[in-house]
Amino acid sequence: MARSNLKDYVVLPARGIVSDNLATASLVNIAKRQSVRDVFDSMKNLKGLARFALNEGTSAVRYALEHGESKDYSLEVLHSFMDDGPKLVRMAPEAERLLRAEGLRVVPVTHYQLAVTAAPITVSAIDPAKLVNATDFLRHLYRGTATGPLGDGVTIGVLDSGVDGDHPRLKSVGGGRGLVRDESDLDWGPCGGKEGVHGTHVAGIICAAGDPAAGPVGVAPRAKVRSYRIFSKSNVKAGAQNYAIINAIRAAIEDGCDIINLSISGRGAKDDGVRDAINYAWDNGSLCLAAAGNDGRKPVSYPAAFPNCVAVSALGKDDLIPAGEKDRSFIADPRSQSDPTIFLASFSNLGPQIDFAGPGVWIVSTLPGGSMGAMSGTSMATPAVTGIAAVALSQNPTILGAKRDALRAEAIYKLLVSRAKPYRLGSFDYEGYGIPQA
Amino acid sequence: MSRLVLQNWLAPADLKSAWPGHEQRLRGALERLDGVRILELKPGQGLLEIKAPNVRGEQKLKSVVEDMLKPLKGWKVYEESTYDLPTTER
Repeated sequence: MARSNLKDYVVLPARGIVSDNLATASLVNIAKRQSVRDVFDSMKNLKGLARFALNEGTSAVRYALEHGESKDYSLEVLHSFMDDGPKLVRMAPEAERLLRAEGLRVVPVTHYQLAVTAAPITVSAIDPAKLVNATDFLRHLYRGTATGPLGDGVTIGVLDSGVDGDHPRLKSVGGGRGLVRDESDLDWGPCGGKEGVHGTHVAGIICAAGDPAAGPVGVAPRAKVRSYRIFSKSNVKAGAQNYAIINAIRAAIEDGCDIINLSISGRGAKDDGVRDAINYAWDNGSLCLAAAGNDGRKPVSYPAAFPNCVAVSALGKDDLIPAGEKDRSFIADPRSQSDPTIFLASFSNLGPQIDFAGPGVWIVSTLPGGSMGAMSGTSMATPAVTGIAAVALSQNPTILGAKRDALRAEAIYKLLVSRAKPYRLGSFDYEGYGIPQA
Repeated sequence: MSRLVLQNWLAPADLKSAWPGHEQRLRGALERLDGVRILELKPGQGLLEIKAPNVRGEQKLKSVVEDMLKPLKGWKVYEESTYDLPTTER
């Protein structure tokens, strides 16, 4: 039998994602059965075959299998989370057609584009008349300011490219760990290069504090932030390995983090290690929030798309983006039906996994070395919602002090849902429940 | 050549008491396994490099490591993967 070119596919049931027909043995048997049918169909002279079998003292069945012809139904199940769940399958084109004929959905393996990091636009001074950072954005939306506790007693883990704890506006950044192999586990500071600023910017959106006229203020300025560096000091572009991420989530739980911010997106298929780590955080009472990804209207990337992870898309407000700035190119449809100046950023991914939206275009925040600058991305929208979650948690001592189990994580999530305001962008896939109120 | 991530999901207190025994058995077994190199092995975590002539060989080695870990409580094996920072490109 000639071997065809084998390709990888995802096999799903006709509807949904769970079916007993997806059991590995069931898929393999479909291919085997058809192969046997082919073999017997190909044996034209059954009388001759029977005579031969009698003369040679062998069975016709064995002879047919050895000498008959069949198409190539090679099928190997490469990966499976659950026996009745979707399968990653490597198979020949004929096997693919066979599964389709059996009513199964066969889809190609999807690879997501890289979310390339970029240098921020450095800002030398804040114009108090302009609303540019995440907190300003939120205040503008709600036409007021948050009152009461602003993250008091809440600890947030920022899994990122490291945070500059010496920044004068980041006094509530209190320690962390380095999780990259062969690098110091005590070094949670920012990575080098223009991409290394990311973590400091993200941390500022959550907890920057100081005179609002002099610089950005975070959404939860009294929350404690811990930095878990998962990118290499010298090469952020190499990406963060799931090994570091799993370890970082474990470490954040050990350190008592209530909320974990993951402004990261996967390069390709989901990996069950990070999924298990997010489930581990959930089971230990902590909520993970992740960026939906910046691939421009593509499906929500991982880890945001994992069931126990909160996925955040990015909104912008066009009158808050300075004239002449390139970030105005992110203005796009759909727009809010309640405030037409609000839009879903052109880069934002979308899909049914989106839980909330956050401000993610032209967000001014802290940069390493004591400076500040504007960046855009679902990376920026996520810490804004993380900060809101911290504020909400600090205002609910019952949940904050509850036993650290899955019920607590669910309660934090429901707290966000109860505070969310939809901006009527036209679909849940764009904004989920909307932007939660701080 | 690819890498495998080993992770133990026992609660910290349980892991602390189990780790000395686990480490001894893990090191012993992994070091005897052709095509597997230990890059790191610390309490509850490990990183292995596996080398086989083809993808199928690597899958088989992964299965061998998974089988090896089955008697030890709390361990799972994952393939290494990579994540990026989703800010926008200027």
